[in-house]
Amino acid sequence: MSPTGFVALVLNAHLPFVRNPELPHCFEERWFFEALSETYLPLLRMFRSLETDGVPFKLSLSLSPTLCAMLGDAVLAERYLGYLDAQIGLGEREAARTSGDPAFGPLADLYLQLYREDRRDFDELYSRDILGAFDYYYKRGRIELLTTTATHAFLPNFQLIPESLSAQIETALVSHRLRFGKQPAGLWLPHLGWYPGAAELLKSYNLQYTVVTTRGALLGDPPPSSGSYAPVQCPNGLTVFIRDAAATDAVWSERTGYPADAVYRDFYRDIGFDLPRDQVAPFVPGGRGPVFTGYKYWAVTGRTEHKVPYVPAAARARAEAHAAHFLAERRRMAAEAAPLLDRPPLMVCPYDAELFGHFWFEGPIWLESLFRQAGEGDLRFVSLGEYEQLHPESQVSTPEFSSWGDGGYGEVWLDGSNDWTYRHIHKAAERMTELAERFPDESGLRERILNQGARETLLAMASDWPLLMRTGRSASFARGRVEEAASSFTKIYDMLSANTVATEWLTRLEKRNNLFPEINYRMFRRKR
Amino acid sequence: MLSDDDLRAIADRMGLGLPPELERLFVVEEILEALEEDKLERIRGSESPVGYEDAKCWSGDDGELASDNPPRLDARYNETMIKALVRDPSWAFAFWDIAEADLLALDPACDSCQLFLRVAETGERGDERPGTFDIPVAREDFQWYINLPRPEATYRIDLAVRSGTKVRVLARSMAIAVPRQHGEFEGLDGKARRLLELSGVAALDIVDEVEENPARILRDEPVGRGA
Repeated sequence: MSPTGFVALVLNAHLPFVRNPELPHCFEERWFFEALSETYLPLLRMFRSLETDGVPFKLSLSLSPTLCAMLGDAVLAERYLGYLDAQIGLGEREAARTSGDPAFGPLADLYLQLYREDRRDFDELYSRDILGAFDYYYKRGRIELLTTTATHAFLPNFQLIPESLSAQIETALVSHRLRFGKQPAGLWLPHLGWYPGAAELLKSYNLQYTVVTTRGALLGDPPPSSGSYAPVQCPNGLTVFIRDAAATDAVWSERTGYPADAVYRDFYRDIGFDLPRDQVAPFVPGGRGPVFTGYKYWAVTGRTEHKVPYVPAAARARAEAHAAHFLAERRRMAAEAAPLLDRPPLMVCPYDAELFGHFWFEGPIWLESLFRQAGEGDLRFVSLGEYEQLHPESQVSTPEFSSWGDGGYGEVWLDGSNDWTYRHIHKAAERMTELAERFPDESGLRERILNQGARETLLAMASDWPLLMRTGRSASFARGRVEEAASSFTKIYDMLSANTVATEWLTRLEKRNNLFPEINYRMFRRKR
Repeated sequence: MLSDDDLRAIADRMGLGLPPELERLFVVEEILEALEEDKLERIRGSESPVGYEDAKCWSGDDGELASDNPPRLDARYNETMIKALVRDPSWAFAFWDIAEADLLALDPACDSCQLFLRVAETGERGDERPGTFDIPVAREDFQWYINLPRPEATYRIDLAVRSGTKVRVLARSMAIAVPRQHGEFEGLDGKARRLLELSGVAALDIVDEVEENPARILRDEPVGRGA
């Protein structure tokens, strides 16, 4: 059956680099463990289930270099098993506590079984090699892997220091090639942060395509005559896919999107807050107050204090119904758009991967249902690369500066809460270029320190930190990460200027911030 | 006009849980406030996934998980410079520094020396509107948000000092291009306008105010379906 429309699901899997082996229990590493348990492993289970049943599925998945660094890290793998053991211990305690309770008893069992399954999958099925598991589906053509900037830097705010942008891209590509054996064709722009000069940057690294917001594309020069139903091409040939606004709203909207449905599990209501602290604290090492445990027994319910218990069967049925609704809406839009186009309409649906499972507990069920219900029907799921091969030519247009943040431009990453960071990060990046120019051919200890300087500069550029400062969640941790990275870089700069090296300090820093072992500081040199 | 019972019913459906003795005026206020909140959240939800994005970097603590003794950064780097970053069609953020030597050179001149930012449109996009405006700043200031007069223009910002009638430029920023705020859809044919409409252009607030009714603009021409 020839398709009447294409749907491209694009997931961005990303977490900032939070590994800290110097602490016996680095609390922020829980972000990584939670995402593993609730998103990455469930996604892999979904792939496995679909493949076993012979259901066709296609999606594009961006695995950020910082996430890849943590997924490939032996220390974090060991710590993740410790986390799972604590979660299982908590679950056993909860199963006993809620035993006989018709509403909560089965829920405690449900989570306990999930954590046990996570442990089996992680340790036995995948031998702790989650990247290898994704690579398996990549090599089989089921998913397409994209990359993003090295530390998920929001590109528009670094336009003034092009060497830092090149370093972000180059580091990401090298990391991807080493892990997956080939160059990615597409790059996920963090927060869909685009500026007109990005086309030259991406194309100079032989990247073929990326995704922007509907706003950025429709404000493009000239406006796209196919709306968001076909990509555009920048004058230099870079293909720019356009986010489908309706598909975005259906999932992203916190008030009206699917995840807000009353029957779904409430993300915020957690026994970490409901039970006395002494009952939870032994299972949350490093916690400094009430925290999420992952054991959540209540449904969203609605705007009320009187929550109702979560009922998994009802939530599953609703997720399947929402998948049917999503497909019906895409079919309806495709039917409206198709007569106006010279090719089947494309609807690009980019989301953060961690929405599925971690925040929206039923998200993986919804995703799986999409593929199962679509089957071999008239609406076909494609990866971005597959679509680009089918339709290599598109209208020439350059999108406008844009992002998916509030307001549609850059205010999330540049406001009163985070603007102070740019003075320091820009300075570090400029100085890194200065160092790379001054010391173009170093080896040994000096090369090590220059490479660490490059790592610290990239770490300071992560978009997560200004985002968290703005939202206020984990804000002091975010401030600390920028201060640490910028300060470490300054110390490196001063040491090189004074021709001294604090070897012990350097070694310790290398061990802590050990991402990108292949890094080459010379990528910060000016392009000639 | 809705009866008190009708208002109560609406409040209940919205799950507001208002006390029964609450006066009508306050019930109305509560409903309006909730509706406004809903609207804001809808806008936020439709335009910005940030609410979900930061949930993955948050384990329930109120965001004050202190890093272990983060080092304090020097506020300045002892250089004379100015940089400007564009934030959106209305605002740019400028930050600058003045080297100690330059600061000392300023001091003896006069007490009335005035530092200021001079914002100049460069006309690099071929639509030159010559003109500048100045923003006085204090010596203690090292950053400023600048309200930009015009989208789609290019600006340059000078950090300057005025002494009497003399103006000395201390540092000059690179040119910054202000993004478009409204699309240029007039030249599109009926099919393209319909596709823009299907793409959700009306909800994006990017149709120029002189063409403020997007539905009208987008439906001006008949759509040749299937043509």
